[in-house]
This record gives sequence, structure tokens and C-alpha cells, in this order.
Amino acid sequence: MRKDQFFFFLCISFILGVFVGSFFLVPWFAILLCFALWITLTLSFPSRLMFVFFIFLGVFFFGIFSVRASLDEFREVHLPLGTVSGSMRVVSDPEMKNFFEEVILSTDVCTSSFCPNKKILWHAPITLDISRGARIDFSCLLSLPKNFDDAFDYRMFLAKENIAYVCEKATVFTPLLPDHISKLYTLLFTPKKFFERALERSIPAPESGLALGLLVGGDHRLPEALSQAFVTTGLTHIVAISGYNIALIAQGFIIFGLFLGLWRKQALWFALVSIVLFVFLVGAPASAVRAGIMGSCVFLGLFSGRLSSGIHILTLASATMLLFNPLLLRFDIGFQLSFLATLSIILSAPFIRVYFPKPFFGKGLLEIFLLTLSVELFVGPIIAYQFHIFSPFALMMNMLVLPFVPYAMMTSFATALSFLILPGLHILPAGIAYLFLRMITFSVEQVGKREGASQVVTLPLSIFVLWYVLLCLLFFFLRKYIFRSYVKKTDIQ
Amino acid sequence: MSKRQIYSSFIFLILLSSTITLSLFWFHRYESITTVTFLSVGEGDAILISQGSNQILIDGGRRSKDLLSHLGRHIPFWDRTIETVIATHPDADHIGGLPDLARTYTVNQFLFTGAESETDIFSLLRKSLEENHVTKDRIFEGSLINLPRGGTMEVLFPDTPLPPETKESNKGSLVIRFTYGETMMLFTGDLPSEEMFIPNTGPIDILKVSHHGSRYSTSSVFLGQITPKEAIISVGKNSYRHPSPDVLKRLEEKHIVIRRTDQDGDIQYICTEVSHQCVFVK
Repeated sequence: MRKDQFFFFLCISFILGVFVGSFFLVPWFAILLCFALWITLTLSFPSRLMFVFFIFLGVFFFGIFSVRASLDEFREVHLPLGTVSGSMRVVSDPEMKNFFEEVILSTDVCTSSFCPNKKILWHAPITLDISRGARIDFSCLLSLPKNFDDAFDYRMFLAKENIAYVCEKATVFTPLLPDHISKLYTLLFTPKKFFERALERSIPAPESGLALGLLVGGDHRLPEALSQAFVTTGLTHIVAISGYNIALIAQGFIIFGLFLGLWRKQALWFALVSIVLFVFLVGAPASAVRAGIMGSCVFLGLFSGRLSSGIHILTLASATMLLFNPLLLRFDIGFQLSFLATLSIILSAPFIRVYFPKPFFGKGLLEIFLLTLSVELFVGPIIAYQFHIFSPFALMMNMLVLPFVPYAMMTSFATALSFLILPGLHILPAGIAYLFLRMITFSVEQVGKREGASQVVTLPLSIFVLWYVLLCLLFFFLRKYIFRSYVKKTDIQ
Repeated sequence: MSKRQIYSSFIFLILLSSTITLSLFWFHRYESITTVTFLSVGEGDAILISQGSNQILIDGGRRSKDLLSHLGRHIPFWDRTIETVIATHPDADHIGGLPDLARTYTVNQFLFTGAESETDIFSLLRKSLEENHVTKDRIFEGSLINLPRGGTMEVLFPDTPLPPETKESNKGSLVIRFTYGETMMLFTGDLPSEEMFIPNTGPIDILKVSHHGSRYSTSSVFLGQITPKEAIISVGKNSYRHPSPDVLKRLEEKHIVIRRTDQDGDIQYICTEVSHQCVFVK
């Protein structure tokens, strides 16, 4: 076993451990019992192979342990309730709801006897003028988030962002003078504010909301009906910042780098640095950071031209993210979609390259079709499992809409830039951006309102797991088959 | 120059001139048409009167997302100015979308009765208008707004500007009559018992039913007084059971055509100089 293979299987063992720990209630004593049994076996029959398996199994159990420990932290019995007072830091952009603003707070200086070490979701008054990084003198009786719907675990949805408490009505909330951290936040996130404002002023809603969704992520700027239509048509992934969007942005930067006269390798580094800057531009929410990592994986994988290196990078990136936050695997739909879509692109791209090496008329369209089909095969079941929705039109809609997305993103970006640099000149790029964005919203609206655009399905966990196992086996055997035929062809030549 | 290049240039010129001709034709038509659109913004009111590049918005619904996304469908992408915004009264379901509107569009003037409110949303609106340098003016009975290519809006109620501390905001709702050629429309905000407050209003063609079809408005007496042919109910999902079955019954008894934003979406009338009246289009 090569070193990189060993490392790859180590990451896989950890991810599998997190998976088992997330979906199956493994009792502590069973974990300890299995581990003790395996130690006994390894010591009784010592061999190199047994030792290697011992390490893999140890990492597997560590995966189970880490997710169980995180889940335990958010169990009701481990979350005391009370009134918290002190200085709090705003760690998210305020998000406008119907009657309040949703703000995430973390404790800066606690002056009460009860001091939570988790974040707080605060329903702030809409008139309060605060932004990310601000400090506030705060006091509130905290409660635990409630699950209003059996199908959606809201508590764990918040837990994956380390939020354990909700404050519905704060008794004290006075903004404090900015300190150096607040000033740093302001400096870092001012570009995002300008960017948002520029797009909102230059493109009408709801297309401006879509443009911001594509570039900055999030569907909260879209009206409810349109947002639902994106889910119904299987296109919700384009408005949640994902590895796909980041990969497109990276591609744009590579082209720009080459246009500037950089060499291919320099252009790659230019794109990677640009991704980091871009993630900061959008405010560096956890979702964008994760998407940035995933997008870079696709990019590096495709750029290296080797299937195995792409998969290795993706596995390492995912294992690292899960090491920091094991709850992502089960409770973050964004992580799941990003991981599976990235994996599908990395897996299928080399096959397309081997089967269709020469250029021909319509090759681009065929490539889009095959990549979209591959993404759908990986992403469809997770959407069905999480949202209980199957979209019969998803494949068609993805094929129809995805080709416009890079152009919509590019022209929207150009619109915002020209609005900021020379207001008035932005009309031309805004017109082109609006055309692309309107084509997307029009097709989503038209298909979304068709009867049967989405079917309600309930996918059992066993079928769901079986599907992914079969899919991975299929790609594994296809890879072997292609490798053999490729070797034969090169031998003959 | 090769023959192929000559042909290509010729085709390009024909296409370019056709596009310019069509655009000019469309633009001329667009400038001369007046539309009145009752926007489907849920439980709230928002009425857009558009005449080419001139727009007047009466009320702003409850949520800015709904208001802006519906406005975006009726105003061309390059026109980012709304000349006049009118708030009939300071309730959240009539002004909720306006703070963000003033941020994303250029609003030239804001007209209201003078009544203010102590709610969060009104404070937000006041702040947004100040930050975006929007001129505020009070209007009352007799105030007139003339549209550049025909059409007049006349305020029928309240009789005088209202003091800021006015408590019962529905009773201070602006009532506006829009006249275009032979068509008259009446926008009543949330006014209850209209026959008491505007007893002298004569026949009209299209009525915007007051207070989303509340049973305290649109009485048989009032309907008998104004004899509308069509009634628009701006309504969405709500816990007040709007529109009231009593109101629907009263309208049906008078054989008035009922259109509802919760069922029909945006409801639009087009008024043209040629026909000299407004007709329902969708």
C-alpha cells in the first residue's frame, strides 16, 4: 500500500465512522467492546496487515466517537437554561424576517452566573442598526430552539453552526462603541455590502436576488414562490453557494489570468488566491468557506488530470471539515450537496475525456448532458431523502439552465463592478445580466408551476445507502474497465 | 472586400436597422400606454400606476421581497426611479415594503396624510426616507396629481392633513379617485364605513375594495352609491378571514365582477389614448 493510499483510506475510515455515528445510535459500551476485541485480536495475531487494519479501525471508531460527543453536547440535558448578561459579539449578517431580524451572537464578556459556551440566535428588533462584528450590551432569558415540523430537525440544523439557544425577547440590547475587532470586521465585510447594494440598485428584483444568490449564496432574497420553484425544479443548488459556483468562478479567474499573460501554472495559483479573496468578499460564512474548499478540490482534481488525485484531495478536505465539525455530514444539506456534486464531477470527467477525446460538433452539449446526468445521479437521492421531493424535470432543467449560469454570474459581477466604478455605465452589463437571469427565472417559474413538477417521496435510509454503494461500485468497475481498454489501446499503438 | 463580407455586412445592417425600428416603435407605444396594476403582495395593498417612465405607487404591501419582485415584473430593468410613492395610512401591511423600496429605487416624493405610527416599521420607513433624501408631503381632500400623458388622481379623503399622533389609522386612510378618459377607479385604502366618510362620491367603474374585504367596509349602501362594475380585492393568506363572505355576497348581489389578487395574481388594466378608457387585461 502506497503512502497516499494509506492516507486516503485513513480519511475514508474517519468519514465512515462519522457516517455510522451520525445515522445509527451506537451505544458507548458497544464502541468500547468492539475496540477492545480488535486490540485483543491484533495482539494475539500480530502482523503488518492486522496493524494497518487496527489503525483504520481506530480512526473509524474515532469518527463515531467524535460525532457522538458533538451530538451529546446538544442534548437537552446538557444545555442548562437561564438569563445571560454581558457583552455579545454579532457573528452573522442580520437576516430580515417578517417581524424581526435574525442575528447570531457569541459571548464576548459574560457578567451573569449563567454563561453559555454555544452561540445564540437572537430575534432582534428590525429598527436596530447593527452589522457583523458589532458589540452589544445584552441580557436575555434563553430558550432552546423548537422543532415545529417532524420532517425538519431545526435544532440540529442550528447545532451544526454551534447554535444551541434562542433569545426571542432581549431585555437589554444597547450597541457598544466599536473595538478593534469590530473595526476589522467592518473593513473585511464592507466590500460585500457595497457589492450587494450595487446589484440591488442596478438589476430589478427578483433577478437581483438570483444574481446575489449565484455570487454570494443564499436564496433568502428570493420571494417564497420563486425559492420554492427552484426546489421543485431541482435547481436549488445554484442559489446556495456551492462547490459548483466556486469552480465556475475559479474557471473565470483562470481565463482572466491567461488573458493577462500568466502561464498556466501561474494562472492556477492566481485562481486559487482569487477564490480565497472571493470567499472573503461574500462575508466568509461557513457555507462559503466549505464551498470554497470543495470548489478548489474540483478544480485541482480536474487540473491535475488524474482521477485519483482529485478524489484524494476531496476526501482529505471533507475529512478535515468533519474533524472540525462532525455534525455537517448529517445535518448540513449544503455540505452533502457540495460533496456529492464535487465527487460526481471528479468521477465522471475522466470518463468523458477518455471516451470523447476528439472535438466534434455538439461535443460541448454532450459533455454538459453527461456531467449533469452524473451530478443528478449523485444529488437526486439526497434531495429526495432530505426534502422528500423528487423532481422529474430536474435533469432537463439542469441541462437547460446550467449553461447560462456562468454568463449570468460573469455579467452580474461586471454590473456590480461598473456600478461601483462608473455608475451609469452599468446599464449595458446590467441589460445583458438581466437577460440571462430572466431566462433562468422564467424557465424555473414556468416549469415550477406545472402539475407534477415535483413528487412527494419518502426514501428509507437503507435504499439511500444502497444507492450510493452501488454507484461507487459502478464507478470503481468502470474505471478498471476503462483503464484496461486504455492500456490495450496504447499497447497496440 | 469579398462577396461574402459584403453579404454579411448587408445582413448585419438590415438586422440592426430592424432592431432599432422595433425598439423605437416599442418605446413610443410604451411611453403612451398607462397601466394600473394591483400587485399580488399577500395580505396588503400595493397598486402601481405606470405611464412610460413615470410611476406612482400607492402603498407597499407587507414584505419588501414581495413588493420588489412584483414591481420588477412591471417596470423595465433600466428604469430605477419611482416618481411618487403614496402611503394611504401607516399600517404594516401598507408600508412594510417601502423602506427597502426607497433603498433600491430612487423615490422622488413620498405623499401621506400626515398620520404617523409608533411601530418599528414606521420608524424604519422614516429613517429610510431621510437617508435616501426623499421629499415628504402631506396630501388631503382636493390634492391633485396629473399624469403627463393623461389621467388625474384626486384625493377625496381626509378633509385636512392629519396630526402625527392620529391613533386610529384605518379611519384616516387616504381615498383617491383615478380618472383616465371615461374610466374612474376608486382606491379606498383600509377605510371602514366609507358611506359616512365620503358620502358625496358619485358613480365609478372599478373599486379597490377597502381593507382587504373586511366586513366593516363595502356596505350595500356604499355599493349602491358608487355602483361599480368591477371590484378588486387585494388579499392574501391571513388570520382575519379576509375577504369576508358578507362582502363577497354584497358584491355578488349587485352583479359586480370580483377579482382577487390571491387567486388571480397581479391584476392589470391598460388605459390607452385611442380607446380613452381602461380595460382589464390580466
